[in-house]
Amino acid sequence: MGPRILLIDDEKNIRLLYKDELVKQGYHVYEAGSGLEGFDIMKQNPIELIVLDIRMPDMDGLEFLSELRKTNREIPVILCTAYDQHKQDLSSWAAERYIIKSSDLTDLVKNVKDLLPI
Amino acid sequence: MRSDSKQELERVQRELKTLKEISELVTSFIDLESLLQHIVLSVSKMMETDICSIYLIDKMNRLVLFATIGLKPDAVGKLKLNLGEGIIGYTSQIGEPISVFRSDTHPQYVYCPETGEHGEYSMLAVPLKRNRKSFGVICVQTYQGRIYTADEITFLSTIASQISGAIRNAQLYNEQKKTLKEISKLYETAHALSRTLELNKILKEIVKSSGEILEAPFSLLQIIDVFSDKFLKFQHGFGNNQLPIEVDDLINRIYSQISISKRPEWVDDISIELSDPFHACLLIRSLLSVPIIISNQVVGTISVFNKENRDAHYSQESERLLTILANQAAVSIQNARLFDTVRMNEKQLMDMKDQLLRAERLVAVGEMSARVAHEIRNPLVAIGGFARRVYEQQEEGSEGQRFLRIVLDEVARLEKILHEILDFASPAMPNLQPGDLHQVLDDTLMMIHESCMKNDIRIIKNYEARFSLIYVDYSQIKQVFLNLFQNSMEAMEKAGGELKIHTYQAPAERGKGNRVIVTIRDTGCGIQEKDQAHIYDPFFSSKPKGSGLGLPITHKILTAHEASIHLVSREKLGTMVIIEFPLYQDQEGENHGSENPVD
Repeated sequence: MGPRILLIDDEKNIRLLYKDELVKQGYHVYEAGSGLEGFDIMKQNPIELIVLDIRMPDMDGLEFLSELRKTNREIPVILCTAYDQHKQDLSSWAAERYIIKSSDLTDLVKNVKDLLPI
Repeated sequence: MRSDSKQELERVQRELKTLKEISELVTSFIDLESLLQHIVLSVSKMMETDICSIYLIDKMNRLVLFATIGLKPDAVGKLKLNLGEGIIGYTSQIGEPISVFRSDTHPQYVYCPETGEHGEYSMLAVPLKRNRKSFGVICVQTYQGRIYTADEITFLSTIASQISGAIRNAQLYNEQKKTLKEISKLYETAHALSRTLELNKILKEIVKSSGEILEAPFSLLQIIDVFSDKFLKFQHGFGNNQLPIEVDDLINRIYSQISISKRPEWVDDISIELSDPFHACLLIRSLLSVPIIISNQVVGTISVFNKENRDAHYSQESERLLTILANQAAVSIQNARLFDTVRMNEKQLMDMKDQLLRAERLVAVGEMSARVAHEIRNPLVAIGGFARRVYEQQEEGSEGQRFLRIVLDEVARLEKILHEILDFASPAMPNLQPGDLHQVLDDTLMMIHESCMKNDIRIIKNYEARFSLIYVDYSQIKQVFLNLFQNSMEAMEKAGGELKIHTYQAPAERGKGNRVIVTIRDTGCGIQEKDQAHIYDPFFSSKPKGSGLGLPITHKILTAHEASIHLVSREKLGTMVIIEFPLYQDQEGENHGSENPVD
C-alpha cells in the first residue's frame, strides 16, 4: 500500500478525478464528502497528507483546518479551491500549500509529491 | 456811376442773402462736419471763389483741415499745420485777416502736396476767434490773381464771427456725441459681459471694447492666471502678431509699478523707451495702463496704445473710461472665477457619482461572478480532467483523440476566462514597493518583442522622464502593461504598425504631487466611437474572443496604485493610452532617485 492520502471534497466527480490520478501515481487514497466525515476516517486510518477543498456544506475546509491544527500540527495539508479569495484568510495559512483547482492536474501532483514523496 | 451803384447794391444783396443763408445753416446743422461743409459751399458760391476751406485747431494745437470745397477731399483730417506754419498758420497766429494776390509770393507760403494746390492761387484767410483767441481759419482761394476788396474782407470776417459760435456748439455736440457713444459702448460691453461667464470670452470682449472706446489702434489685457501664476494675455488690434519683446518688457515694467501704486500709469512717448522702430511703423505715441483690482490686489492691467501724445484733457478722460472698463473686468473676472469653481466642483461631484456608481456596479458584478465562477469551476475541472484522462488512453492520431483535443482546448479557454473573472472580482491587494517604471516597461516589452517582430510591429521607446521611481506591485503593473500592449498588437495584427512608448514628467498642477506619465500609442484600427464609453465595463469586449475584463482589471489595478488611466482612440488611426503614476516620495516629501541621465 502506497502513502496514505485523505481527499476531502463535497464534489463526487472531483474526488473521482483526483483519486484516479493519485492512485495512478502510487498513492493510497481515502475519500471524504465533508470535514466531519474526514475526521471519522482519520480516527481509523494513519493519514499522511490531506487534500482539502474549502467550500463545503456543514463544515467547510477552513473550519476543518482550524479544528485539525488544535490537535495535529504535523499532517501536511494542501488547500485546493475554486478561487483564491481565501488566500487572504489567515486560517488558510495553516495549510502547507494552496492551489487553484484546474482540469490540468500537474500542479496537484507536483505539490503532493513534494510533500509526500513515494 | 449808376451801374456801379447798381452793382454795389446787387453785391450787398447777395452778401445779405448769403449771410441769411449762413445764419439758417448755423441753426439747422448741429453736426460739425455737415455744418462746415455747407458753410464752405455757400461762401465759395457767394464770393465766386474756386476754393473755400475751414481749418480748426486740434488738441495738439495744430490747424487741421476740417472742410473744403476745391481742395482734394482726401486732405480733410490729414492736412495739419502748426501755428505759424504757412499762410493759414500765420493768419491764426497773428489773429488778423491776410489777403494775398498770389499765395506762393507770400513769405509764409508752404507747399502742401496733399491739397493739390500749387500756389498760383490768390488767397483771403480770416481767423476764427472766440474770446479774442483764434481757434481756426476760414480761407477762400481763386485760381486767378485777385485783390480782395475791403468789403469782401469785412464780409468774410462777418461770416467768421457768425459761424464761430455755431462751431463751438457743434464741437460741444460732437463731444457729447462721443461721450454718448462711449457710454453706449460701455453699456454694450457690460451687457455682453453679463451674457457669458466664460473668462476667455469676457477678457477678449473687454480688450476689444477698450480699444474701441478709447479709439486706440492697439489694446492689451493681461491677468494672472490663478492656477499657473502665469500671465494670460489678450490683445486687440495686433492681429495674431506677437508683441515685440521690447514692448512686452515695457508692459511688464509698468505692471510692476502698477501693482505697487495701484494707479494708472502713462508713458508719454514710447519712442524714448524703445529702441525698436516698432512704435513708428504702428504709429504709436503713448501708452496708458490701468490696474484691474480684485479684493485690493492688482490681478491684471488693461493697456491702450495711443496715436496721440498725452494731454491733460485726453489723459483724464482716457483714464476715467479705461478705469470703468477695468472695474467692469474685475467684477466679471471674479464672477467667472466663481462660476468656474462652481462648475469644477459640480464636475468633481458628477465624477465622484460616476465612480461610485461604477464601484457599486463592479462590486455587484464581482460578487455575482465570483459565485457563478465558483459553481462553474468544479464541473469544468471534472469535464477537463476526465477528458484528459480519456485523451491519454486514445490511440495517437485517432479521431477520438482529435475530438478530445478540442474539448480540452475549449475547457482551457473557459478556465482562462474564469481566472480573469475571479481576478477581477477579488484581485489580490497590491504589494506596493518602490520600483522603476522604465524597468517594468522594459521587462514587459521583452515579453512581446518576439511576437511584435513576427507581426511587423515596430516598438519605439522614448523615455524622457528623469524621475521614474514609483510605488509599484511589479507583477500587477506588468500585467497592466502586457494587457495594454496585447490590445495594441491585436489592433495592428493585420497591417503591422508602430507601438510607441513615451514617458515624461507631468507638469506641476495644484493639489497633485509629482507624477510621471507614460503613454502607449499604436497605429492600429482604433476603437469605434460607440464602444468607447463602455471600455471599462466588465464583460464588454469588441474582440471576438475577449473576456471583456482586460481593461476593467487594468483600471482596477491602476486605481489601487493611485494611478489614473485615460484612453483616446480614433477609428482607423489608432489608440493612445495615457497613464499617470504618482512618483515615489520619501517622508520628507522629496522625489527619489532613479534619475535618468538626460541625453
